[in-house]
Amino acid sequence: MKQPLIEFKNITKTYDNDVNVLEDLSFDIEEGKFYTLLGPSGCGKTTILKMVAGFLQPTSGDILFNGRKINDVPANQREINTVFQDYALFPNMNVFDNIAFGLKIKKVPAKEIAQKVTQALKLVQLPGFEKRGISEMSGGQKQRVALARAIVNEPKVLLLDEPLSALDHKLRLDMQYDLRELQRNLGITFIFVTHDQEEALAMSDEIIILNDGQIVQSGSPVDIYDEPINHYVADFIGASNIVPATMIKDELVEFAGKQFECVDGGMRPNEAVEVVLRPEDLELTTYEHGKLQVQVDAQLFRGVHYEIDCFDKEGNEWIVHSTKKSVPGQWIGLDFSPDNIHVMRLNESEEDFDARLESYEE
Amino acid sequence: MHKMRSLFAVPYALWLLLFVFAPVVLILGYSFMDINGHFTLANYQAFFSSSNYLLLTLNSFWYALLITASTLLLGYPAAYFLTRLKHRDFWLLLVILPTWISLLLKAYAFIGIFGIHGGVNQFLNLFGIPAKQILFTNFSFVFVSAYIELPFMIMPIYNSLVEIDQSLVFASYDLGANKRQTFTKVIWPLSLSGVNSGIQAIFIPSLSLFMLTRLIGGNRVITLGTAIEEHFLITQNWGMGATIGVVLIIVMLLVMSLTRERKGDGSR
Repeated sequence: MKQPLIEFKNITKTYDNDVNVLEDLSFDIEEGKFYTLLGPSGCGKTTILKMVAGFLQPTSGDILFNGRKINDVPANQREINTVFQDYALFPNMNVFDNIAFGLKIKKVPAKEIAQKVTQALKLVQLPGFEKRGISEMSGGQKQRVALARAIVNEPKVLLLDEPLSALDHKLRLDMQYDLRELQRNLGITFIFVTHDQEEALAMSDEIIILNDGQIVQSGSPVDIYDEPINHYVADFIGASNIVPATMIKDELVEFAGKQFECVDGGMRPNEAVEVVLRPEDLELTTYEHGKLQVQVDAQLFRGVHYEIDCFDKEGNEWIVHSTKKSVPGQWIGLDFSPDNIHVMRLNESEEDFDARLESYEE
Repeated sequence: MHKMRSLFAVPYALWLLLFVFAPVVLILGYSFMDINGHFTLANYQAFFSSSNYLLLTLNSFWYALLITASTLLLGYPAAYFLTRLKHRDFWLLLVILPTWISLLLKAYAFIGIFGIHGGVNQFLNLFGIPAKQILFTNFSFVFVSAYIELPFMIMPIYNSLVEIDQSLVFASYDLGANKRQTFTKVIWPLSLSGVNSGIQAIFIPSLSLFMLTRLIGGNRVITLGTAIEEHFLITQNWGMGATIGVVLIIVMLLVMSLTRERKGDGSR
């Protein structure tokens, strides 16, 4: 197997107040991939980033870089650069001097610096901005300068700490494309921190979902979206219908007072579980044709689809995304196929989850 | 609405007229009058042709420079470490506290401390060092002036240092700079506005200190301030006193323009 670029080995971080921000955390970062650390505020994702950058030391455990322990290597000696949340551009310097900062420290010849800065500005689509003052630029432009200032040093890893959170919606979407493209072109490993699941799904090769200082699930965006390990991930990764259910036997699950065929297995008979049904997987049909009968409670027009809020006879809430209109108060049927039902065990660890998936998925 | 607003401005306009504009005009006027109240340029001629006055000016500059430089050298590190302390509001209060005590009181306290039978000499006696003349020396004048002015250097520098976004320091380390480079390239340039305010607050008043030159310097140190006082109160040559005053005002404006904040393209 290839040597991972960064390895976290049993990292625990405790702050002054004796609360473990991270607890016995282990993961690998491979070279050239786009990683996203996803989680709500306070989950420890920024702490991880600061440890990779060298601004924080773990309380216990080791951080390896190319197989070498770097716990005590200071930030200025790591081949890692950061794009800060609030850009952190030096207000006393113009765009050129900001981007040239790292190169000047490394005593790169002036001619080469000028050439690299010009090239970096082109990469972030701000050609000719060298002489601009920092205060004369918009948020999006500052963001790009911060990006240029980091990548001009050709780091092995680029850390991005919620860099898009201060931008408006349209600009954020543009930057998602640009970041993804930049990462592919440069081949630098990106570690991106965000609490926005859309950003994570859109850009990443690998998503690491964190909660309370622990990894809940990691995998590709598609894996995580299709096979969330538990209620927390399913809820966090997008609007979902999560209802309590009973696993009668393999490939047969009961919820909302009815039994349904499904594709999951490997559980005890009659085990209490939860099922997830994505709003876009549910289809509106007539009362008679539906597998599930629900009453429409409210309907919102979302542009590309209607978001329809329904309740079944047992009081479970069902959210449906549909291009068809419905009438509030009306009883309708919902249709879905067996592989749209995703069954989640309660309190299953990521290892057990992966092992179980493998056992019935060949 | 507009009328109301102009009405509110009246007290301020009156204040400026009476206490800023009028005195400056008066000083300017007096500087062109001889001792009998006739128009003359003799005062300026006397000032710029007399080696005494020019020496005096140089002397004032030199001491103001010494005082400012020593407060900056002591004040900058003090302000820097203050920003790093845990209970920095408390420590800042301790720095500000002495400014609440009357200047005169502090000067008299130093007469006690520096006197021939004062605390410093008594302490030196313990080690068998004979009593020395400390009071009424150039050293004691600079020392006491610097002591009194120090808070006015620390405060603006402290404020400008506190305003520096900590993430800029992180960014500097992140880009490969060590502590010294981070200081010279990021922290120092961003605290310059505070340093400039501190220099303005100390250099300009130090040019015209006269009470301390008398009480602590024992009239050995003669500055422009002392000269003005002498002319107005003792020799009664108001014209000459006003002329020195005008020269001081011009010097102050020069210092202000040299240390003013340069807002512009952001490049150095």
